[in-house]
Amino acid sequence: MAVVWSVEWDLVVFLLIAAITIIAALAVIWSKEIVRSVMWLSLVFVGVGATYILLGSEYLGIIQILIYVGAVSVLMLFGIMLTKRRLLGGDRYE
Amino acid sequence: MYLDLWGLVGGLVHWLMVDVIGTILNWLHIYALAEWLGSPGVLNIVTILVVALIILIVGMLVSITLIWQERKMLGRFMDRVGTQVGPFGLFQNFADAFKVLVKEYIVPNAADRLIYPLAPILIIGVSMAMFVTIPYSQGFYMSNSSLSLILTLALFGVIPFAVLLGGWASNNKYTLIGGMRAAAQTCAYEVPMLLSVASVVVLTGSMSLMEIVTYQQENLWLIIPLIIGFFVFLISMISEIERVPFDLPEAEAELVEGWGTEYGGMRFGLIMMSEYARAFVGSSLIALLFLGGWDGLLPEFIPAGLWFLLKVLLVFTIFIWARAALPRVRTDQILNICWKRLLPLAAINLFIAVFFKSMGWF
Repeated sequence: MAVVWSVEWDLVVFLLIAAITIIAALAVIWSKEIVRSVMWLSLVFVGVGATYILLGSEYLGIIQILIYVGAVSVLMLFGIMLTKRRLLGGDRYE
Repeated sequence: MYLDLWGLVGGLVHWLMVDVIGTILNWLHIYALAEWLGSPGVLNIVTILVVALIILIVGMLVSITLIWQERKMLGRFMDRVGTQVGPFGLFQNFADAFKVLVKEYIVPNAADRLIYPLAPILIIGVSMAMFVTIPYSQGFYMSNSSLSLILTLALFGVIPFAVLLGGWASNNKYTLIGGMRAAAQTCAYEVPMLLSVASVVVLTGSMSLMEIVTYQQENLWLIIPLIIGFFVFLISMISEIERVPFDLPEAEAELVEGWGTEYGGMRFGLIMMSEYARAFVGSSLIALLFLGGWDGLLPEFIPAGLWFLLKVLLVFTIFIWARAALPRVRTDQILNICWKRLLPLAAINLFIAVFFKSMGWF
């Protein structure tokens, strides 16, 4: 007798995306460098957008990527301008 | 006349997997594998992969052609010959690509170890992902989504973020200034660009590029009612893909090579490639939205995809012409042009579109 495999692929993909999103969200907090936090934050937004698309709401998912990832770069500008970091020499983490 | 890509590839894959490989496997008495290979799901996935590969290769070939066209035409503008390797200099780009391919991969000492290698991958990945939504003709396309226009613009919105990441991670003041300029400029110019796209969406009532082109085939090319929107979109697109009147992010006279200064070897090659990939997507968006896409004369004799590529090359010729003729915009002027000139024009254009739509003329 052959074993009948039935895998719910929607669930597998959802769990994969959810795991990536949660790990990225934890990495936002754990990163010491502010720009790395921002980079992980963008991954969180992309993961949330992918979840929307998986749930059948493509428009919301695309708008999520269009608006939030676009806004992340502005956030990053503020992160660079308002925090201290030495360019061209000096200790990197001070 | 057009090429039905999905039908062609689907038929080929079916022939290969069922008639050739399936027969061989049956002859070898491996019936289960033959049946699995011939099942609709497997055939479907293989067809999708092959179509994606074809679209990627065609997009990259067109981008390389655009590089060749730019170098050749710039040469003519400057009264020199241009590229010379191969017939008409067509192989020069391949020679250059091979040169950057064999170069050494160097990471600057002070660069961020995680983000520095990641940024070019992000940029080239996003630029290549835009090929998915571009239809070449009624039959030659990858996806026929109802949201393909907004998806392309969303991918354009990711680019400033990746550029800023790359500029920051190189840890060099020129790259950081270039990245900041790129982010400020592309974020700002997205506003008039999206507003002029909104006027197209108002008139056609669709966000699918295929349906927008179908509307223009049935009525008229949208450049006629939306002439202001066409120019606003053209200028914003030149700024969005960082070409010469607006190439402040890589102003080679001020910032060595802009945000890409620290990238060498194949990473530099990928960044250059992604710029021309975006130039191709930008000019094909202009051709699709305003110039009627693959709509042309003699549709029975001349293939639709050829008309589309002809229009793309024509729009890119305008880009090259602007590059040869115009000096670079000053830093303090660039946002004035966007907010004080283009944005009111885009708003007027949107009013005109709403007026036409509410009068029922289109």
